Amino acid sequence: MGNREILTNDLGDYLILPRGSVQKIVNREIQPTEDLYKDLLASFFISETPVPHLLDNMATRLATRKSFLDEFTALHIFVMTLRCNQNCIYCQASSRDSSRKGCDIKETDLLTAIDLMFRSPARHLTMEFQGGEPTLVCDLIEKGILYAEEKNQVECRKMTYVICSNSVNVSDAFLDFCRNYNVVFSTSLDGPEFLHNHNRGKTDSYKKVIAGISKVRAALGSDKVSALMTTSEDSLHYPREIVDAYRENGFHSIFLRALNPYGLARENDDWPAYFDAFVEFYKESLDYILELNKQGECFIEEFTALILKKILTPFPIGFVDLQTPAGIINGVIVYNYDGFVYASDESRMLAENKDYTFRLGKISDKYEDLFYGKKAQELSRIWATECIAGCSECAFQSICGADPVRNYSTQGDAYGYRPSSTICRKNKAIIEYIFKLLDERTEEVLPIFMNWISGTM
Amino acid sequence: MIDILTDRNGQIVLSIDTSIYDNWVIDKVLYWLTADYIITRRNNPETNIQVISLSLKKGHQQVDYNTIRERLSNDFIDYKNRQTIAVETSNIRDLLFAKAFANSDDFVEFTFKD
Repeated sequence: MGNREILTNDLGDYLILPRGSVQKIVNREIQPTEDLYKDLLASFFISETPVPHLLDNMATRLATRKSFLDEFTALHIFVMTLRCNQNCIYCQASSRDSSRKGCDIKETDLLTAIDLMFRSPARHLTMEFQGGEPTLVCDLIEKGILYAEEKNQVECRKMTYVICSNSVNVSDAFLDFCRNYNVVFSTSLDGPEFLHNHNRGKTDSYKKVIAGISKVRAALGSDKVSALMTTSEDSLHYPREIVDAYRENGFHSIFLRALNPYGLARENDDWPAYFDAFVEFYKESLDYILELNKQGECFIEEFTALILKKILTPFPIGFVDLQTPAGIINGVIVYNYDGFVYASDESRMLAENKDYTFRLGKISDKYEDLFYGKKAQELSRIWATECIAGCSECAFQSICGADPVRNYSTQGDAYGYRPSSTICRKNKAIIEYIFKLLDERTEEVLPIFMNWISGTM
Repeated sequence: MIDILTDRNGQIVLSIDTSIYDNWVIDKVLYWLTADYIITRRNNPETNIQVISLSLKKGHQQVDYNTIRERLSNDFIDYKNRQTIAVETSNIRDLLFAKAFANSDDFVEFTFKD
């Protein structure tokens, strides 16, 4: 990082030192009287004995960082239908027209999938309803939630229900139901009106979404609606405008999310150029957000907050894209409208292009065969950054995550090839930028960052 | 030691002393160059020298000689340090992972009386 070196370890400790420091450590040129020696010792980079005295403490910290594995498969995605009433031009889920037949999940599959979900050992289960537009089959969502609630009388898990909806056409009756079961809505807002409508190839999408958000907020409470944005190529020119659109619409955070190469979004001429431009967009947006925070407005960039939690706290995060072992199966599973189980949301998106590589089996199959079967075992060999080429020596290994599905989708090989990986390039650039902020603008950004992670933990 | 030169065809030619930088280090350094270069490696008979040629792939942008030279010099030293650290910490790392992920619930704890 310029003239500085970032030192990290498996426990999540880090030090940023002048270039050449590692060479001095390796050559044993740091004297015990030096402050750096004490810092290295305290951060578990060096040990004065062959087996460190605090090995038990270190093991506990490592286990804590990986404790998301104890919550094996906490996120269960139910793709209720592929039908949608918006059909945006960059749709990553390859949605179909709202009148199309044969695109809804069968009730028997839904209920069997819920039985599978409760086989998961996680104490906290999230049921996420996706589409297409899942509210087109709100009767099925209601049946699913009622069935889960009934089973949970015995199971006693902490349940969270999420509906990923464009919020365009949600009925009052359905919102009443959602209020009773503490359902939260996750919707999509790409930024200001002209951009949102342009991204979606519509003239009235923004107005409908904003009206939908207001309606859901009025019915469920303002904290029950979150929004995700997707950065199209056009969005890259409007970092401030996008952040301002979120602020103007009452949001206190934004998740700057790059396009994923799935579904209709797959058609892109030059992904490396897109991701390089995305990193610049991210930096500009983050700098603007930091300015807002300095002026007293608490506004969070969620992706940064996730990375900061991994850098500044000993705890794991639930975000499946930044996990090692990977989020697929360990953190997330998808029950698709077609009656099959997929390793992740992106896996079912590949299936829409007739690629069933990450299909684990039928919903009617046994839990053990789906979650611990041959395909899961094959994936487990390549799903940890600790043991794949290019990641195993990376300083950001414990901050970043492994993603065999993304590797396969973009490079034709689930193991992946880091030298030309766009996700590797993007994540490294972003993590390095965050470290740079922590190093060069410590006093200015650290209080803001600590506020973000203490408020969102 | 390493020598980094360009030949008359514009290829970058490295001569690496494998008694200083072994194949573990060389593999790691070259891995990151494989996206842009076609790489050939040849051991000089009866010496420790390995000769490596980097030929730019078609359609890839030529990088200034001094830039690639500086990058390679840094990378060889960097990966050599990483190798030293990996070797010296390997046992501790094994112990650490074994301890962290041993399922303590499976062990029965006994209370001993004298």
